[in-house]
Amino acid sequence: MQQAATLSEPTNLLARFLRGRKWYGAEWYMTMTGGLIVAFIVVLTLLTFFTPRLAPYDPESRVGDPFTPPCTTHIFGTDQLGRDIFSRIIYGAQIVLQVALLSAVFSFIVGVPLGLISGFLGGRLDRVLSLVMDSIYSFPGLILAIALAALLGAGVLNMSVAIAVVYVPIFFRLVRGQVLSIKEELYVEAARSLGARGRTILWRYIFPNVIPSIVVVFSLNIADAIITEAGLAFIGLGVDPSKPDWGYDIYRGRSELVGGRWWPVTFPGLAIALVALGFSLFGEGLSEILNPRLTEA
Amino acid sequence: MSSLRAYIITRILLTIPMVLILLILVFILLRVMPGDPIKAAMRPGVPPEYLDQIRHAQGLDRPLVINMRGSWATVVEPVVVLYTEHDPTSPPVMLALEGDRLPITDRFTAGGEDWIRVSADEGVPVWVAEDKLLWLRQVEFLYTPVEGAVLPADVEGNWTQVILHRGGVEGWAPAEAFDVAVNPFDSQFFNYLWGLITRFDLGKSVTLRGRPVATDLALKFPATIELSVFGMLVATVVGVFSGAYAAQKRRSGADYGLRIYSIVAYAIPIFWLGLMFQLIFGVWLGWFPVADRIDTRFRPDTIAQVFGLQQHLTGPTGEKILALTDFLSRFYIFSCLITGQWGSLLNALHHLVLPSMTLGLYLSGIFTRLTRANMLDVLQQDFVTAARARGIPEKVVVYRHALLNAFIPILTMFGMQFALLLAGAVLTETTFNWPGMGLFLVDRIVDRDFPAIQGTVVFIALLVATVSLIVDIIYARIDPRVRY
Repeated sequence: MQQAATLSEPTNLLARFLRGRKWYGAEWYMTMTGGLIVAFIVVLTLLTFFTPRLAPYDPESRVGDPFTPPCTTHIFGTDQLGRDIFSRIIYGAQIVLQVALLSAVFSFIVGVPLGLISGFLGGRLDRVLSLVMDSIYSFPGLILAIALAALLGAGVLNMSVAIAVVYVPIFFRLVRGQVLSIKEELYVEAARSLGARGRTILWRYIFPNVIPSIVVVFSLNIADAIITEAGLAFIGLGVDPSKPDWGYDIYRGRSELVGGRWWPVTFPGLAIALVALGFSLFGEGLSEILNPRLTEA
Repeated sequence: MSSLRAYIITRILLTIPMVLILLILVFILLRVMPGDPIKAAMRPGVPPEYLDQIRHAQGLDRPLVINMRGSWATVVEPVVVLYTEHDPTSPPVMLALEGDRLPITDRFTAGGEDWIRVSADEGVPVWVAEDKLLWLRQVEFLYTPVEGAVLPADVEGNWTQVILHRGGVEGWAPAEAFDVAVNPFDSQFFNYLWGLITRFDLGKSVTLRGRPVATDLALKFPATIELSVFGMLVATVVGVFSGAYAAQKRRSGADYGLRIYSIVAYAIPIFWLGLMFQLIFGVWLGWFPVADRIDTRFRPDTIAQVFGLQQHLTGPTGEKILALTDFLSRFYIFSCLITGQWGSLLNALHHLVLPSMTLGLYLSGIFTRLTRANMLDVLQQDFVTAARARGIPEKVVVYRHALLNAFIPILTMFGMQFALLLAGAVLTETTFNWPGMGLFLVDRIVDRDFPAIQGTVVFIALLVATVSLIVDIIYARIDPRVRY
């Protein structure tokens, strides 16, 4: 199997990545992951762009009897106010993805430049920044996010900031570590001896080599942020109680669980798990393609 | 050995700045943010005297970091009238007599005027104006009127001398009436730090009638630790064995299955997993209870009750020991084992199954992953090949020789995963109504009780730092390769 990929002509992007590299056995695993990722992204894009057309009902108004079990008219049933759960899940995707993407972008914007500068310049600045980032990193992220979210109050932006603070150290540590090792590479040394300025070296020689790992962590962060957002909403620190939000819908549905009404809780949770899983696999797949040596010894 | 000692000392010294940074961070976040944390916790329309009282009790009437306006004012004039505003025409609030030492709560300096706001101190008699006394009666302040007090002859108006037990009455007077003592460290931050170091004071709750946060946390701590220990147990057993198995059967279907499992386990929201367990095993199958630590009728007797310690332990030392046994009694599993209350033990374990499975399975994905990676490393080492060459059965090679060696790095995971464990415990406790620190934190958030939130978060930071310190030291002792 391993030889086949090396010998045959690369037919697609994935096969081209596979070619000539020592993959751990089964290409089917890679192909399957790749296929899943593509399918997932397509579904997600469709979901976000065509939300109103995909959702059969208005997510915020009563469209059926409260607690209708899943049936042909309401495939996921209705909640305690008679709202269609399927429509709420489709609309809820927007808030979750907004918060997750924004928080990942925020922590990227803060963490990456700090990590680049800290690793490149070194010295006292590096020591202080590393200590601060390590302290935040060692603390339970969710608890920090909970405290921040409670403080900042509701809203997409506030939630994103609360979650972003937790993930800044992850970008920082990753980028700083990479910069420290790339700094010692021969080609950086060559550039330096040719008289390149510090800024040029950092921007043209080091940063491009950090990008692959950043991309991987970015996608894993989105997966993490989705779960964190759901956790915050589950505690009642959601974006807006009136808007459909998967975590908050679970929070409201949980009191009905004892009566055996399982659908208001089950389906939003499945949605969270699937989307988080999608981004996780996406990150895993990327990391296998971009840093093959890191994933498997 | 000296290198180990050096390592331990370095490690401890590194912990201090990390904890301090977290403390500063939490402090900045919760105190510098706009908005009044006391008002946020109260219903609208609460009398300002009440807010003043709480602010004073919480120490929030001090400057944030450096106090240059003075912390104590001693009255140097025979009688000083304190007004509601920094304006001599505003209604008077109270009288202070020469020699009274009052805490400064605010200072106003502008246009040649210098006014100081002081608070009535606990236990020091002050003269309070009649309408203020009316307020005190309405909001049920703790105060005691002073019998037979004589008003100085040159003061007009209707005054009553009282001793306030919680402060709350505050007034303005020109600064020249006082001798001001300046202590730059009498600020919110340094007082908090000092209280934390010397008395382990984590602050006081606003909504729980000013109860110290440390008292509540001591009540909740055992529940969280019990849940965490059992969660960790499940995670270790499931994670380590599945990881070892995946490494042994590398590239097989089982390996891919377990790798997918490790990703899926992490992607599933823990509270939803808990709710699904409740639904399946609690509601549908009815095997396990879905809330609380123990049924009321099985609530175990404390260690002191079982062994009849109350009669023997008297005096201050005895009471301390009794308090300690009461604390230990709240670790239900532990105390039931000691005291032999088997019914309660079974009931507590019965309640523990679903929460610890939830927490454990959530963490097991990471354990599977790390164990697998470690095992793959170890399985390639020479001693494993040598063991195989000697004809030792493959199972023994994998589960005895390799796993024991792979276990050392796994130990460090306990330290790293402890933070994750606590975070998971917050959501698990909320899901299962488990009366631990996580549920306490969530309840305090619902009440918008910021001093209590701060105290809880600081305690968790200390706990995480301590645990990771201990784990690192143990790790350094076990594995001679680890050195700074």
